[in-house]
Amino acid sequence: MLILFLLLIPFFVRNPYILHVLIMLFFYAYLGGAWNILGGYTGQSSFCSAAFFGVGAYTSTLLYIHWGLSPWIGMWLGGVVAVVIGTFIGFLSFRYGIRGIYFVLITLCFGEIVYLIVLNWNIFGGASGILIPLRGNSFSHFQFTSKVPYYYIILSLMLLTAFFTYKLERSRFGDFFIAIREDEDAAEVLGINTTHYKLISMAISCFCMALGGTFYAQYMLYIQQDITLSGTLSIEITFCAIAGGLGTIWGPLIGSSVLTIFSEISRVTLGRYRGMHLMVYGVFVVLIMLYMPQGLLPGLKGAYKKLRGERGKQRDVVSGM
Amino acid sequence: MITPSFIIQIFIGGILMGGIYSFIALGLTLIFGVMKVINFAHGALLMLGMYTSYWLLTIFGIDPYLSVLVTIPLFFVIGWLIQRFLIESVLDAPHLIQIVITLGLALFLENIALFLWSPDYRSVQVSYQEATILLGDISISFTRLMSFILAISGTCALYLFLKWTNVGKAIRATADDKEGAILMGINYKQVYYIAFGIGAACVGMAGSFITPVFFVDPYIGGVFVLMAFVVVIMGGIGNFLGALICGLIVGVAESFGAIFMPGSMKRVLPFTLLIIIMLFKPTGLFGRRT
Amino acid sequence: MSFLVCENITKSFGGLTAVSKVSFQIERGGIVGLIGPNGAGKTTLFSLINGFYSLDQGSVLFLDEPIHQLKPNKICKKGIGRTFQITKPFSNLTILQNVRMGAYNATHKMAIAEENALEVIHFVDLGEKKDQLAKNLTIEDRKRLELARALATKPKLLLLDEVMAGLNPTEIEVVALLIREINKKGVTIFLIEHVMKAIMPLSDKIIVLHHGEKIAEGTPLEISKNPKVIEAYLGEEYQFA
Repeated sequence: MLILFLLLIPFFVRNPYILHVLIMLFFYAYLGGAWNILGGYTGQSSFCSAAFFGVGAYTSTLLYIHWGLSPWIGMWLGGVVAVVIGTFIGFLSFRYGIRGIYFVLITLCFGEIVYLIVLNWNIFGGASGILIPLRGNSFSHFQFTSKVPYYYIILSLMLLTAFFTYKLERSRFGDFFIAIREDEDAAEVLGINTTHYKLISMAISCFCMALGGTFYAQYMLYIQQDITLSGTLSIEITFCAIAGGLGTIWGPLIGSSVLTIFSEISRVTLGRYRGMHLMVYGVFVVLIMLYMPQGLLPGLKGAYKKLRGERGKQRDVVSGM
Repeated sequence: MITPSFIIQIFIGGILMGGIYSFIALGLTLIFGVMKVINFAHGALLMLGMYTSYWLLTIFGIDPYLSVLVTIPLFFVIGWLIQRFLIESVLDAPHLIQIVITLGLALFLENIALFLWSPDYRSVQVSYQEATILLGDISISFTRLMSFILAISGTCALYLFLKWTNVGKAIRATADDKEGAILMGINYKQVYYIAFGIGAACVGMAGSFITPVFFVDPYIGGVFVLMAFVVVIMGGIGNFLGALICGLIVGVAESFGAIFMPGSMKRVLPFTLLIIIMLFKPTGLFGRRT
Repeated sequence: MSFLVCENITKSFGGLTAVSKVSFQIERGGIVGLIGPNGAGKTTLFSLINGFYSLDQGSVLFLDEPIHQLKPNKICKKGIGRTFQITKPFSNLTILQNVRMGAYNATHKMAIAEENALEVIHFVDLGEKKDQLAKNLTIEDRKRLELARALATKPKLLLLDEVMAGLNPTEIEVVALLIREINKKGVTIFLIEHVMKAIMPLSDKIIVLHHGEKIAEGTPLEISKNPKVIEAYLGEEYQFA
């Protein structure tokens, strides 16, 4: 039902600004969903999502600019590169038994290293970034003058990820991912090759991040490492998944909806006060963590149940009389 | 030209910087070691310490080195409040939640600074700004040397505090074995407030005495905090001596890295070093086995 | 073909030797007990057999195949299951989901794994609670869940680490009975226990560890009369059957 509604939105919403906000909303929901597979379901919190996102963006962009390769193809190649790099760092970490907080730190370091390399290597455009040549409305060049095609592309990506997560939850793979999250040692002792499945989870996650990177590049037509490879991006993606609800299908969408809309509203109302909207964003995230640590989706579900439960009790009291 | 004095110059520069990294890492390793919490807001606190000293100088003319008299108590209170109102309720929660909270806090603090003081770089101008000390043909910046000396003094003071005072012992006991400490009648919540307070005071203090050395902007904390993490992990979480020695190592590594690598690339070396250490000895070079 | 052969197993942590030159064999089909004072190295020995720690020296052969270089999940695939002293349930999953994870060791299909899991759950008498979350279980049920999960992997050899710890005498009786039933089904059992009253009548053979060394091996009767064993336990409050 909701999906039908989302699909029909561009038919009655023409305002490009609102479309942009929605695109960003689905964008973060998509990336959050990708993070959720590794972080929410498999329990490995990576904080270098931006690195793989950037890999996708730069791979497809460079292939396009220097070799004229259509971003549609470059997108998949970017995904492959991201998987290779991700599997490499994942393999190093998992094989050496890096877990929990240490994995967070390794991914942080790794993200920083990628950022520094890209910053200092001229082929990546250095401090001024790379501008993608305008082609106007061209499907093969993955560029459109209207926001509507972008809307559908990112919406599809997000829905596909949600669907994939849905299937995952009901599969053997999903079971293994969750077992690893709950107790890795216990999973090992039951015959589950935890390293193997963690790597698969990581590969899937990295691949999706990279696709997101290409989308971003083609939407914004400009990439620069402070935007595409920043730690802040990694954190924002992670926030959406966590705030929405780890290990749930729609958590990232809800988290992204709340955070993106909230962010936009503060940007619009408080934007002239530098930094105000990020301040509010920070406070908001902290509040969610303090009062609904499971995330908004489980938190709201729980609150709803409690409300119904109380109403139910009231009804019993009345009828018992 | 690579002369011996050139090498020594680079080395000394690294040591001086390393001492600062050590001291910044100290607060972090204390918090990490006692509460088992990773304080991602550490860099933001450093930045606030720097701004505090900057404004104390600009408005009241107080020398940055003297401003520690203000920053130490101020940041102790700030740390106490953070532990009491933010961290305490999530002590038993999954690490991820703690990370998000401290990250959210960092975001908040960075942007308060942005809001209040704009993104412009600011640097202090003190009379001894440009002073250097000459040892043979090696020149050492006075401000860096002062920062180093203060950092090492602070480290020693903290070490002695933890070793000899009752509060210090209570902190160490709680860090080692919380259950045991509770049985001994130690109020672990109070210990946590104090520990975070001290950790914050350390980094606020560090901010004060590096103000003459570096410019300050709302984002200056970010780079330092990552370096501090490198030092903490390398030295072993909760390990003071480890943090001290590894801070120096990181400083020297970065210093030598700057010769071979352009601009900000020199920071790649400490990060790579950390990854390698974490892979082969995750408890750090000096860490105890858990 | 031999079943489980451990030869000269040695493991040190830092400067401390946890297990030193321990050698023994276990034959197929029986129940073997492992006892020893606290800190004797029993759990470490299990972790060595199970692949969680690597040996400094020695070898472990299971069905004539060396397994001491393998990771725990491969060892499980070879047919050795293990429970932990402090239970490690998948807290946010139900009993059924927990046991299903173990059942995957014998099948790829989710449906069949679920079937097998249900069988095992009923066997250990947790059937009524199958949809309860693991984190809400009593200690007794958690121990049983741990057992069920390991059983679901269809092991040939089951390593049980203090599966009776923390249970009252009635519960202990029940578990002992369960262990016999499992053994009758053809699973060889190797168990660590401190509850002497339970482990003595249960075991065909007992191995005794002290300070990381094997100090005795024999029938429960022989062990209860062995002066070295009695000396090792002097000062502990254990009573012999």
